[in-house]
Amino acid sequence: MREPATLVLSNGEKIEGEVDRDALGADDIVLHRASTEAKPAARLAAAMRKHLETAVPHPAGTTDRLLEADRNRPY
Amino acid sequence: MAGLYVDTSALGRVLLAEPDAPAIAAETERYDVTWSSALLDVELKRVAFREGIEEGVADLLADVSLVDLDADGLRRASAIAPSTVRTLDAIHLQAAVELHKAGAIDAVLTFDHQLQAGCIHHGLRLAAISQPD
Repeated sequence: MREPATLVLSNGEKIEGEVDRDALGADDIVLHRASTEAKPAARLAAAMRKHLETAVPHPAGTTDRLLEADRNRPY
Repeated sequence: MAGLYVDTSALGRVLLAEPDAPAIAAETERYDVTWSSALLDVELKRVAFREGIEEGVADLLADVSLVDLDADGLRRASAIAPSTVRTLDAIHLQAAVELHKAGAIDAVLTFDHQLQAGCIHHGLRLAAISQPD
């Protein structure tokens, strides 16, 4: 069972998350940050659709071509 | 809560309004939350910079939760299997594996074949739209 926890770094920075209560006796205590930081997928989907209303269309495969070209850019 | 990991090959298709972008939006909406690595921020902004379309990229990135590129994560990415996964994709794969272990994601949305193979290697489910042929 997870419960909220805060990891305080030596510089004072605080990292919010959750820990497994049953795993607190282990050598490594895992701080799960997901549930406190996750952003709703519906918001991203809405942002995608809004972007597509005005974005200039590109041919299929453009992203793959650009990423591939970037990785193969000569020194 | 169902989580989806999106990589640059997926969000790039939306940024560039490729033909499958509406289907990517529909697939995204099937999940509750979205995640990626901070690497997405760098890769997508570089694509936008080169294509001269920077005005749209910030709005897309604002709604993705990004895992920090910290030293520990980069160290694990350097050794993650399989070795055939390209260097930058290893960072995406490592982030996805960690998020999956934490229960934050259920599937990965990527069109990169090497990253798809890496996901399968680690038992990560691929989002329906990005299933390999």
